[in-house]
Amino acid sequence: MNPSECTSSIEKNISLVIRGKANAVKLVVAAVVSGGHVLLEDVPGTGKTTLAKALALSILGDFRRVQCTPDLMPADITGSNYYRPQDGAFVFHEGPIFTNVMLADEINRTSPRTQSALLEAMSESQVTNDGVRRALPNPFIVIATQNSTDFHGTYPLPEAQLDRFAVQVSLGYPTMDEERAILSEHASCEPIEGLRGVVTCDEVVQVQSEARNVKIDESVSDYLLKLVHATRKDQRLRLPVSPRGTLALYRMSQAWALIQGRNFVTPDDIRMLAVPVLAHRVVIDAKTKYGGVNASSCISEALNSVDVPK
Amino acid sequence: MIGNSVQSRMRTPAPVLVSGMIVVSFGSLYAVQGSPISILLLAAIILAGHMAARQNQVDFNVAVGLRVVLWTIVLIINNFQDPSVAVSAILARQFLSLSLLSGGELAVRAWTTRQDTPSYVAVTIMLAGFVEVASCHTTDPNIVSVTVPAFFACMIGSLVFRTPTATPNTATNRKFHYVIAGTSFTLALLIGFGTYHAMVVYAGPITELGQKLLSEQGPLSSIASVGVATDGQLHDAPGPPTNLTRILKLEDYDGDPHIRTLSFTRYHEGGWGPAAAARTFVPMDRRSMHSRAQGSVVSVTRFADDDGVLPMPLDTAGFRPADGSSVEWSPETGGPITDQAQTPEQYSIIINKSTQNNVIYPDPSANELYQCLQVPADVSHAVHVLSQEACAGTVDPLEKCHRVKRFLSRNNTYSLNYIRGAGDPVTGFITSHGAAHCEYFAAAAAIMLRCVRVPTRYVIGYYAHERAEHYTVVRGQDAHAWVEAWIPSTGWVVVDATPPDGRPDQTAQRVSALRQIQDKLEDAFLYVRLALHDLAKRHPVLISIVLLGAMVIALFRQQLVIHVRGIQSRRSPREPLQPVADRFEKWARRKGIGSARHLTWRDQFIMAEAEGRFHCSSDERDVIASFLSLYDEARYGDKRDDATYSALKSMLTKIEGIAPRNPARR
Repeated sequence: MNPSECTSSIEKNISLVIRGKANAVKLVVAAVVSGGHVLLEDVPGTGKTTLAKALALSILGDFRRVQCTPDLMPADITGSNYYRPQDGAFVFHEGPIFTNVMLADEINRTSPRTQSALLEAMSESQVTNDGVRRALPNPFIVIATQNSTDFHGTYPLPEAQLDRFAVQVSLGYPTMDEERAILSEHASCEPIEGLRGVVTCDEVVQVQSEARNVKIDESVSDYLLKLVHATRKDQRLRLPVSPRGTLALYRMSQAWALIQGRNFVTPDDIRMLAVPVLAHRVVIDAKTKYGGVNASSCISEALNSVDVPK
Repeated sequence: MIGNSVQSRMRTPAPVLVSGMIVVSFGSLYAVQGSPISILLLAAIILAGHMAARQNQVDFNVAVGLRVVLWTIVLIINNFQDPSVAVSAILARQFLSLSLLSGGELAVRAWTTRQDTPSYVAVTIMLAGFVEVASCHTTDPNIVSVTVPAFFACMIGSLVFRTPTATPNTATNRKFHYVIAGTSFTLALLIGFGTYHAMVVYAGPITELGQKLLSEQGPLSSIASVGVATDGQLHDAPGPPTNLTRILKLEDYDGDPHIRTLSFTRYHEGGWGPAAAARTFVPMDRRSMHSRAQGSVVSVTRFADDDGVLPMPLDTAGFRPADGSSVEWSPETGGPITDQAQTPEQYSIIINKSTQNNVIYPDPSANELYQCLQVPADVSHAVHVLSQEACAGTVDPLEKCHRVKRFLSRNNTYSLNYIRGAGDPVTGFITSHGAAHCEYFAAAAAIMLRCVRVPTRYVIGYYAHERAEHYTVVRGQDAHAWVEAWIPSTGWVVVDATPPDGRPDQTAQRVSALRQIQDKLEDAFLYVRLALHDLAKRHPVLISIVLLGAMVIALFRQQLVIHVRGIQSRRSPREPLQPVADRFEKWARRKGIGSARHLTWRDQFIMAEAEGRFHCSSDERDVIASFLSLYDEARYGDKRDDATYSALKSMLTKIEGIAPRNPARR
């Protein structure tokens, strides 16, 4: 199976349960191919959890779900050593993070301490417990969801954590036709239960390595750099795009090109991905924020200030 | 976004300007040669060069080269068919037209090219200016006076209306744009004026060089003044008077139409001369030559240089150069000379209001009168006899003049073609009652009057008859010859023996509307030229500094553009795709899709459709989409082979054929 067939079969499979959100699904798949993690931010009931589950099912991988609550402890995620009297020794009990796809539901409801437990896992694909490093399975994908409207009893994700998500995706409400289809599908059974895996984890790893070989022309990478540097010159951004963000955009554009069946990146790819990949990483200053300007529009303006190679 | 859409709707006026310049050049060519066929040929060749370049997507310089080659081939073929005397002169003029167009195009192109592309080089502009002005100066100054200002006007115009750069509408960018526009404008003016000044200062050597390079026939002015020779020789067939080049413009002049340039007293071996010794002006009282002289003032504008001779009518009482320089009366030449190296282009003459009878001329010296009565021995006895017969029974010199005029108009007819036989041409003309042109009538009258003891001199000049509202225009076709006779107690009197139907106004070609427009343009630019000339003469050092400064500013400006915009010239992967990209961008601009620099072509296309600026069928949309993806593949991928390029070109040809549709009004 060639890489684009592989990714399109995942997309098709997810689309069976997520109706009419082709672009969001594509972004999620691209994040998987680039080896990144996904932050789903939306109002409740739009299919965030279903999307994460469908993805895990599609790649025939393990799927664990962590419901983040204020009393959730780091050890509840990473796992902990406990004493086994029959062996007379401490044995490590793997937490839910030892999986291929982990859904951290309502991630902003847990304490910063627990959120930080994910930092190492997300960037290095490993956890350290009592000084012992344990590698996580490959592929390892974190899909975190958060509710963007309800802030009561939440802990906003720290910038360092946000920066570790390759892409932020919003699903949004379906149209009337899409919702009608959802109704008819859910009338007799739950579609997610009928979902079958289409690719193996090994295949996903292979696609990930192929994405690294997608060509980025010098002019395109220059364009990417100019774009990032335009955000650093923007006075309204208290925190502009980090080098990690640059790298994420680089990898995401490769993955995106691969999904489109190309082995090269075009400036169109960069322009398409700039807002989903960069907007959640930057922090705008308070004055601008209350002036009605959001991060997405700052990134869009940066896009408009840089000449596109042609 | 609003600003962007406005910008993308603006069209570049460069094609309009180039078309304007071509019209001006064709006009000049038409005026010079009067042959519409060569103009059609030139148009066809320019078109062919462009089309060949477009079809093969070659560089602009190659296109210009192609055009020169094509034009040369046509000229060579033309030479074989019509090996006339004036061919090399025509060749020179046609090359002038060609280089004029090329120089103009080069300049417009340089100014309208985006500043960050490598082809934008200040030197290109400078080069274009030099090519332009140098090529003009190698030939006819009359063309220069129209084409040079037209060229610079176009250059400045293309600069002012140049394609706006589609950068975001931020304050910094705006400021930068204004600074650049202002600098460019000043620069264009400085380069234009500076170059022109330099050309005026060094006009002599440049003209000489140009004539050496372009023509072995000597000065082109000898071809320009077909009509009456300036050397005093009698010619067989001066040809039809078709030369419409303006020689003089006299304001508020209503005196005698005979405007004299040279007079000759010595007739020798069938010709008048030598010319050098006969460079005479009307001998007048020395006192009256000053600007205090009484009479009506006529200001004269001189367009052609007749070897430093200042044409003026016989009843001139005073002379005053426009620039206020001093005037000296030269006893050797018998006329006013100035202390200037070049004869002035504008001067005033003071016409004595009273009739000629009252003008008191100093009597010619005995030696001069003796010269004016000499009849050479090769004039046959028959002429003496005929003259005596014509003037029998009168002693009044004025009456003798009338009789001789009557004799000639009764026995001879006017014709522009006269083949002179062996022996003295004047004798032949009188005795055989032949048909000839004004030179023969004048020469015959002079000799016949000398035979009856009336002192005469042979005068060449112009017959000023083309009167407009406030001024009189004298053209090359108005060249004429006549006689002045010395009548004691009256002075010199004009005796024009040519029959009325032989005067230039009878045979003159009608002045075309195009020519009249050119005259008006010439007038408008002449004032600028005079002012510049004056400046160039007085401040050559200042002009040199200005020129150098302009060059430095041009180079500095380029560096500034590169520096401020952060432009990198790493464009090598695009090179073979460059023509394709240029063609597509041009098409997109023309269709109103726009050429915003911060949008990809795909985005522009989508936006144009969404805003209703562009409409096409779904098939056409597919072609555009597949072109864009193939282009991307070639540009950013590795698909760089000839098959891809040719596929791109064929797709582009299809796209360019998309018929314009009226966008639906909302």
